[in-house]
Amino acid sequence: MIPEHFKQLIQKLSEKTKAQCAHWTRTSGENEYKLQLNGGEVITIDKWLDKRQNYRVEMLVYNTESEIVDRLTFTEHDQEFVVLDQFYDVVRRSFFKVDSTFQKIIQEIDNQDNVGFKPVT
Amino acid sequence: MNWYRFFTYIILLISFTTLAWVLWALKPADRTLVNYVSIIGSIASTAGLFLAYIQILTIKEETQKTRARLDASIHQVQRVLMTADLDRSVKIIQDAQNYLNQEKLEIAYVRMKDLRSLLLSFKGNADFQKLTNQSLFHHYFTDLQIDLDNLKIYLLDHSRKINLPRILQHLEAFEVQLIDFENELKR
Repeated sequence: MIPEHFKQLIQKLSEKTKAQCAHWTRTSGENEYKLQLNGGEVITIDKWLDKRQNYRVEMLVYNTESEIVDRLTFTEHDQEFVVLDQFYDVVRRSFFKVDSTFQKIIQEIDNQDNVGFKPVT
Repeated sequence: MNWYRFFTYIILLISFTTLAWVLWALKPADRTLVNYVSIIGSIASTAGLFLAYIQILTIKEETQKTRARLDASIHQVQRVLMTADLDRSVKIIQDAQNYLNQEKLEIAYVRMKDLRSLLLSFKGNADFQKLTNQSLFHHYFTDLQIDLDNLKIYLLDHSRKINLPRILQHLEAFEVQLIDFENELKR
């Protein structure tokens, strides 16, 4: 069961992130992303394969004193995993600008007869 | 010449001039010992009052100067202590970077914890407010906290990977900010 305040946070952040209006950065976690708000609060989201080869996804909320005030963790066997995993994917796609990259590629394929760089010999 | 010394001489000059004039202006019938004593006493006590007032002003000025010098000394000592604390934090960062480069993660973790404690003490110190109120300081401090959390988790559970170059990068950025602030203090 995802607490209501987390549901609201995930929904609002998803909208902002999809609109490319949330500035996510990488942390020292291999697959972790961080959003630092102007007020000083921080939200992180991470996904990893645990010892039992299960995917886990975790969302942490830090207060202005950089202390963890709340967390949400699910393994792939949990029902709620999908919600957080989808949000993780939105963040990852936003960070790597996946959608705009695909758009640019498709635009180039549509607009040009020959695609791909051909070196002059 | 100090202003109070100048006024002292002026008061003395006025007093002696007044005394000489009064004594010269006395009628021969009034030139008695009692009159001499009372005239000299009156002028001397009036001059004494003015001199005492000048003395009070002198002491007040000296006290203010001493206080200003004391404040300046305290400020200088504070700056020296702050510089020493900043030097210590830079040294800890360099230690942590060395241990991370050698992949001695347990020791690096301890040094980073030391750094966090020292930086927390900066947050509670009014002299460091100019540094700790900067949004960059908060940003780097949060990075340090997340790095510590990630390092701790990695030490307990190797399945959750960490990116050491990114931790080094965060420490480097923090080091630059602390050195910048230290240079600002020394100016």
